[in-house]
Formats: sequence, structure tokens, C-alpha cells
Amino acid sequence: MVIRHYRWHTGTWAWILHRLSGMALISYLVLHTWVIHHIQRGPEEFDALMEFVTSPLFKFGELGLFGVILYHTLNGIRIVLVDLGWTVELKAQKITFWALVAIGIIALGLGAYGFFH
Amino acid sequence: MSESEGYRNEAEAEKLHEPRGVPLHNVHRHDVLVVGAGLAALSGALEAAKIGDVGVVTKLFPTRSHSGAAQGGIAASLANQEEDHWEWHMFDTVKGSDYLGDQDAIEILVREASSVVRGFEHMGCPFSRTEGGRLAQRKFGGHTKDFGKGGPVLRACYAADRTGHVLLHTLWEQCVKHQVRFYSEYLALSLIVKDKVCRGIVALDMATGEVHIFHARAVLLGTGGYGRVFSITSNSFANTGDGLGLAMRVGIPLEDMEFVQFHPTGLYPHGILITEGARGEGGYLVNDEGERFMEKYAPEKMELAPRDVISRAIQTEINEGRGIGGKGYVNLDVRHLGAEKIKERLPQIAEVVSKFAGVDVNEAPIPIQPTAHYSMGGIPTDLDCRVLADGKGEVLKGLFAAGECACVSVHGANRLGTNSLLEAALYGRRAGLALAREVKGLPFNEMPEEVAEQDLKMLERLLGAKGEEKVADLRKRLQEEMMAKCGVFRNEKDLNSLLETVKDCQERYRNIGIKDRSRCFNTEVVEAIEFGYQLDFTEAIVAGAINRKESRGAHARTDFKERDDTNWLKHTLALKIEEGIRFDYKPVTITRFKPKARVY
Amino acid sequence: MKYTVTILRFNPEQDEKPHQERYSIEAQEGWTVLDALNEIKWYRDGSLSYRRSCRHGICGSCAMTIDGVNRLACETQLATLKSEFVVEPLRHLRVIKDLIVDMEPIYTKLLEIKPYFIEKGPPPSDHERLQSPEENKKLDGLYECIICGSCTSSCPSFWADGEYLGPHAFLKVNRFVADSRDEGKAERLKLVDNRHGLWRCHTIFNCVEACPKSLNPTKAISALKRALVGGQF
Ligand SMILES: Cc1cc2nc3c(=O)[nH]c(=O)nc-3n(C[C@H](O)[C@H](O)[C@H](O)COP(=O)(O)OP(=O)(O)OC[C@H]3O[C@@H](n4cnc5c(N)ncnc54)[C@H](O)[C@@H]3O)c2cc1C
Ligand code: FES
Repeated sequence: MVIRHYRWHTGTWAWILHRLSGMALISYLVLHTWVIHHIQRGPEEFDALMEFVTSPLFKFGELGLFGVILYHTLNGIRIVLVDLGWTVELKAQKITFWALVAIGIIALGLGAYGFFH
Repeated sequence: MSESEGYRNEAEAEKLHEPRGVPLHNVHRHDVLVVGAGLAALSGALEAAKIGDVGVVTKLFPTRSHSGAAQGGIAASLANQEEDHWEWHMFDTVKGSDYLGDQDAIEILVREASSVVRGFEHMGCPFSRTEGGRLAQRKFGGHTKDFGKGGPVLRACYAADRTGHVLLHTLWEQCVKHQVRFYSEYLALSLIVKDKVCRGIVALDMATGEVHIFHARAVLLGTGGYGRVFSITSNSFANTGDGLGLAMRVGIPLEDMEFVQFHPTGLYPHGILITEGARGEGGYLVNDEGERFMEKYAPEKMELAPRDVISRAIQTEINEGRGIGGKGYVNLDVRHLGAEKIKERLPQIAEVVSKFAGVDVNEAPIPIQPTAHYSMGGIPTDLDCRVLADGKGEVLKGLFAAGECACVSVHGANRLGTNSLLEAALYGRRAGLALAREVKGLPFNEMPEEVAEQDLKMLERLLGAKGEEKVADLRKRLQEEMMAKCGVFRNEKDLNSLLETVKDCQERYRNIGIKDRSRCFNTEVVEAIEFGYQLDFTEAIVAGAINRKESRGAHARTDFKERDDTNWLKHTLALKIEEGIRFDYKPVTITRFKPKARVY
Repeated sequence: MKYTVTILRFNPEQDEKPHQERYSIEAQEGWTVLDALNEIKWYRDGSLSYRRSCRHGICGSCAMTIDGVNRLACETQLATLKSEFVVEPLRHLRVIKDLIVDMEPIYTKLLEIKPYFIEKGPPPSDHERLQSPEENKKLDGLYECIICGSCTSSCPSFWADGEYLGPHAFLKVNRFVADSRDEGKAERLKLVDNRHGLWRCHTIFNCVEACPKSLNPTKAISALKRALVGGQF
């Protein structure tokens, strides 16, 4: 018999989100391959797909993808900084986390502007 | 290894009577069986492991032993930073002991100190260093230059304020390397002694509640001190002096039990240690009237007078109603040192005080009181740590003891700071070396037929105990009365009434109740067994204090204020007999330094 | 001050699974969680079981989970908690009884990494090895570990892989790797360079959050990773 739950700290969130964003990216890759596969099967399929991928729903999806990529990249940088030993203190890694989250949100905002204008 | 796993083959097993009530797989055999895993025990285990197979039985996982709590340092006249000589160290130790220490034992202590400390360095111990890369040394109370004529000397080697921690961990690591077999969380229940020969021990595996028998050519006791018989102590909960109880129950007299060191600065209310360093850096002691009261007791040395002097001063202030708010403490004030210096020199103290008293040392004074710290007395041994059956010349074959539970007597009536880590490591090693020399020549002596029977009975009794008395209540009563009546000051009247209390507690102990009926980790039963040991040897402490009609070192009698060399320059041996305690004595070994008045 | 303590209780000889029990206590000023447990054990329910010894945060016996995080009971002031708090055994270690867990996984991992000084030649006969104060300082933050188990039991990588060496073991490895006197660097690094070793750390920092001695195992892990990679290029 072992006890399993534990309080979540910043690092736990960073890690869980990294895992989830990683999984999301893999799923996207599958989707991407599927799309590429289909667009070279002829003009009809190409057109049908194009219609789908230019729909507003898909646009939102793309923005989401951008967010996921941003998170995974920025947190990846955070992990590299930790591995380099530059931000390996408890406070420093929290500050970098929140700093990168802030950068991410700004970038996401700019991205959204780009997408919808 | 196979041998250490117990009696695997039939032939081996047959040599032993099938012990009644203990299955054969719970019977183990080692050349040397060590009880305890502190500095003394592990030092011995490590040396012995170089020639034979060693088992260590310990009630705590090794690195949790109390040795790890030591802060200040370990003494050795290395002279790394300034001139020092073992002769100076010897003088200081003899004088510190109020001339009750045996000078042959002290000479060994101070002469071999350097090799012991370097030995630790060679095992990788991370000591603090000087600019030149040598072991750094610091000052400590009572350690002086030029036979007490010069000022304080740099003699204590240290690792920041974690000296005990690094020494203990280093030893454990080396024992792992040398394949010492550990039985952690086993509580020793009795020594198997018959015809003045020790044949092993009986122990309780706390995790399962099963009794195990350890058969050995020789046993080394390193079970540590007994601060826990006092209500206010710097000692761990585990420091219940079990080894003294074990020895007493097989008819070994205990030596100099009346000498208990009280450290002046224990944090109020628990007594957690605030190191001497706080005063060394310039802290003041202040009473309820805001007065630096040491003026009255030691106008010259003030807060830097020896430990026993300051403890007596603080206790006097408290007794006369000048404790803070009339309570049982005075203040140690370090605020005037300034935040900068506190941060640099006393970080650990700041942390401990804030964590345990909720006090910021920069903003408020530290509440302190004398705290029971160290037991000078113990199991009498010769210079190679062989236990003496009569306390004098007769060796009890196959039994050794070292460290705080033993008394070879290097500390006499009062020990100097940093000398006890040294004693534990050095005499532990000597025990190990003696074992290494002798053990192969010692046989595995036959086990008595009734081995472990008593222990099994006792366990059954405790597991079903339905009496009215509670161990916690009895223990609290004993601890509080010990503190009040056998503390810094003692007098005949109080001690007599205390002895009555001890006997009353012993009586009531027969009628205790235990709520926990499980075998697995029955810590209630463990505490009861430990308290049983405490009740036994506490009688020797109190009776010894009544018996010694003088004041010497840590033993301060208000009704006999002077030291009396004519009648009392001798060791006490306290033997438990039916009617109580019977006293015997042995002379102090005096070689280089004749007793003089002890003034600082 | 009144407190309500909820304790996860388990007696293997009676219970199928653990259950919570609540105790209300009247605490004195300056009390820690250990004082509260003692109060309950000594005067309420003698069967309550937990480990303790030094009661000032140096022996490492009393690590447990208090309000969802690992800490030392003896160091945790009641004043820093709410008036109702929960005490449970350490995570992901087998509960033996009440707050006592099986520490064997913690110890075994330590034994696996050669937790002792390694030297190739004999030491100098009549003096210590030399080590500069700067070299000695490199051991700060590494040698102070009290093996309480708080870090490893809080580590999700350990939860997922029981064979993962764990933060406490890496701290010990780096204590020797960083020691200018130790000559076992190469063999030690080999021991941590595998699928249950260094690379399983996901920089979650739970170990650092949990360490009651404010040590930083993640820092040790990152240093070891660099030592390993540096050695290969
Ligand atoms: C807070 C503090 C600070 C100190 N600082 C210093 C200092 O700076 N310098 C100095 O020289 N001295 C110092 N001392 C004193 C010194 O630490 C001790 O005297 C010394 O460590 C004792 O070592 P030991 O090996 O005899 O016993 P311990 O380290 O106490 O070990 C006892 C061992 O016996 C085991 N044991 C006990 N009973 C049983 C049983 N029934 N069954 C099985 N196992 C058992 C325990 O598990 C433990 O492993 C200090 C003491 C205290 C309290
Ligand atoms: S009791 Fe020693 S760390 Fe808590």
C-alpha cells in the first residue's frame, strides 16, 4: 500500500504541460502527414481539404498549435537553462518559468493578431 | 556473508541448542557483534571488519545516531594554525575533569588524537580547511596554550557546524564499503552472559516484533548517552542509555554515574543546544532585571567562564526568581552583534532559534536554560575498552564498550567540549583494534539453554499489559524530578526524596498498561523497554549523587560545597543489588599532573 | 491554541486499508508537528507510530507528508500551519504502519552508487591530504544530506520508475564527484548513465521544494549531466 497524491508546485505544472504539449505536437504531426498525403491525391480532394483547412474552426486550431509549439519551445529553453546550470536554483527556475510564460502570452497575442488580420 | 546470514547448515545449527521460542532463522552468528551505530560503535565495527565478519545491531538507522547532532568540533593538537602540543591538551583535559580523569587514559586520548582525525580525512571526511589546505581548527572552552597559562588555542577540527554529521556519515560509508552487516531498527534486549563470558545478545526486530539471537565471539557496546532521563536535554529521544541498563542487569557495576554535564545554553523550553559559539562571539546573558548577571559570578571571564560555572550561575538566577517573567529561563542576547555578524558567524543558531522558538535573533533575545548534555560516567573498561566485571581489574570475557556509554575515564567529573567526539572515535577504534587482534582466538561460546526466555516473557507481558500506570506519566514525573533535584545543584534532602520517587516509579512500572497490541513497529512497547533501562540506571545516578559528599566538576552539592581530595579523589562503582545500590571505589590514575585547585 | 490534526492511520495487523483519524489538541507556544504527535501518542493513543529521534532536524527520521508536502515533523512549527492540518506517510514508499514507511528503496539506491570515498593510492602517512578552501567549498550543499527521503518520495520520476536512482542518490554521487580528493569519478559517472539514472530527471523540482535542508538535488543532477557530456566530447 502506497500513498499517491502530492501537492503540485510550479515545476510540476511546467512538466505536465510539457508532456501534454509534446503529445499534442505528435498528434499534430500525424494530422499533418495525413493532410499532405491527401492533397496529392488529385484536385477534388485538394479542394475539399483546402476548404476544410481555411475554415475558422481550423484557424483557431492553428492558433492553438502555435500556442502549443510556443510552450514546448520556451519550456524547452527553460530546461536547457536548467541543464546548463544557469537557472537551477528553486527561485530562478520559477522566475524563468513565469518570464517565459509572459513572453509566450505576448507572442501568442501577436500571433493571434497575425492570424485574424 | 553466508555465515552472517544465520545458521544455514545443519551442522552449525546442531552445535546450538534449539533456543526455545526463537526460530532458527532468527539466530545469527558473527565474529563480532556491535550494539549501536554512533561514532564509537562504527569506529569499532570498521576496524574489526578488516579481519572478521561484523554485525551491527542498532535501534536507529546508522546515520540517525545521535553523534550526527554534534556541532562544534573534534579536538586534536595538530598545530595546523598555531603552536600546540599533546601535553597541553592533556593538561586541559585533566584540569577540566577536576582531576578525576584517569591520566593514562587521557594520555592515550591526546596522543592518538591527531592520527584519528587524520584518519577521518583519509576516509574522505569533508573537514573545513585553512588557506594552506590543512585541516582548519577553532577555539573551544577550556582548551588553552602552555598548560593553562596562555590564552585559548586553535585545537578543534570542524566541518562548519556539522562536525558530527560528517564524521558519522563518513564512518557509515566506510562500513558499507567494508561490508559490515547492519541490522537496523533492532532493539537490544539483553546481553547473553554466563560464567563471566559474554556470548552474544538478544534483540527485538522492531519491524516484525520478532526476537532474534545474535551469537558472537565478542560484543562491543556503543549505545551512547542518557540525556533523556532529564526533562530538559540537548539529547535525542533515542538517548535512553540502554547499554547501561543492559550492563547493569548482568551484574556489572557502573562508574561515576553521579557526574552529568549540564550545558548552560539550551533553548527554552526543550533544551535544544545553542552552541558555545554564541557567547564566544560576544553574546550576553541577561536576567529579568536586565542585568548581565555573570558579573556577580565570574567578573573577569563573564560569559566565557567554564560550562559548569555558567550553568550554576543561570540556575541560581532562576531559583532566586530572576528568570524572565519569573519563569525558568534567562536571555541570551546577541542583537548587539549586528545582523551582519550574526549572518556570517551564527547562521545555524539563527535558523534553529527561529524554527524552534519562533524568535528572530536580530529582534529579540534568545530564551535559554541549562540543559542535560553529556554523561561522564558509564560502563567501566580498561584501556582497550574491555569491560571490567567488577569495575576494577577483572575482565568480563567477550564484552567491550566505548563512547558515551563507557567510562575509561577520560572526562572524570566534567568533560571539555570537542573531547567526546574524540573519545568516541578513538576508543571505539581502540576497541576495534583490540577485537581485530583477539577475536579469532575467542571461541563461539555455548549458548545457555534458557537464552532469550526472559526476553520473550517480558515481551509477552508488555504486549498484553493492562495495568493502570502509563509510561508517559511515569517518565514525565521522573524526568521533571531529575531535573529539579539532580540537576545543576543537588542536596541531600532533595536527592533522598528523588530516590524515593525513582523507587516508586520502579514499583509502578510493574503495573503499566500498553494500548498497542500489534507486533509490527510497536513503538509503545519500545518506549516502555527503554524506560525500564532508564529506571534501572537512574537509581545509580541518584544514589551516587547522595553518596558523593563533595562538589567536584559537574557534581555541585549545596551542602558540601568544596572539593574533598582527601576522601573523594576516587571513582565510584555502583552495583545494583537486591536492596538497592552497593558502592565500591577505585583510585584515580595520576601520572603527570597532581591535583591543584581548579580556577580559570 | 487549538488544532485539529488528521492523521492517516494504518495497522497492518488489523486494517485492510488506511483510514483517517482526527484528534483535536491544545498546543503550547512553539510546538512543532512532532510535539503534537507526541502529545497524541503519550496521552491519547499509544498505538500511534512514527519515527523520530533528534527532534531538531538533523537525524532525518521524521520525514512525512504534512498538508500535501514532504517535511520534517520536528521542524514544522504548528504556527506555520492552519488550525486544521493533515499528516500522512511519505508518498510512494510502502506504508508499514501509520506514519512509518519502508525506507529500503531509499537506502538501496544509495548503496548502488558506491557511497564512499574512492582512492587509488595510499594516503600520506603523517598528515592529511591537502584541499584548498575553494575546493572544499564545492562540497557545500552536497554533504549535508540527512537521508530523510523527502526528495525521492516527492519525485514523479521515482513514482513512475521504482528503479530510478532518485535525487538523494545523485546528491551523494555529486558529493564525491565534486570532491577534489576522490578518484572514483569515472566509475561513479558510469553508474548513473543509464535508463534508471540521470536522464530520467525531468527537472520538476519537487525534490528541491521538499528538501528540509534547502539542498538542491536538481543542481547536482545538472552538474552530473554536464560532467558526463563534457567527458565525451
Ligand atoms: C547537541 C549535541 C552537540 C554535541 N556537540 C559535540 C561537539 O561539538 N564535540 C564533541 O566532542 N562532542 C559533542 N557532543 C557529544 C557527542 O556528540 C556524543 O558524546 C557522542 O557522539 C556519543 O557517541 P556514541 O557513539 O557513544 O553514541 P551515539 O552516537 O549516541 O550512538 C548510540 C547508538 O546506539 C544505538 N543504540 C542505543 N541503544 C540501543 C539498543 N538498545 N539497541 C540497539 N541499538 C541501540 C543507537 O541506535 C545509536 O546508533 C554533542 C552532544 C550533543 C547532544
Ligand atoms: S527527529 Fe530528527 S529530523 Fe526530525
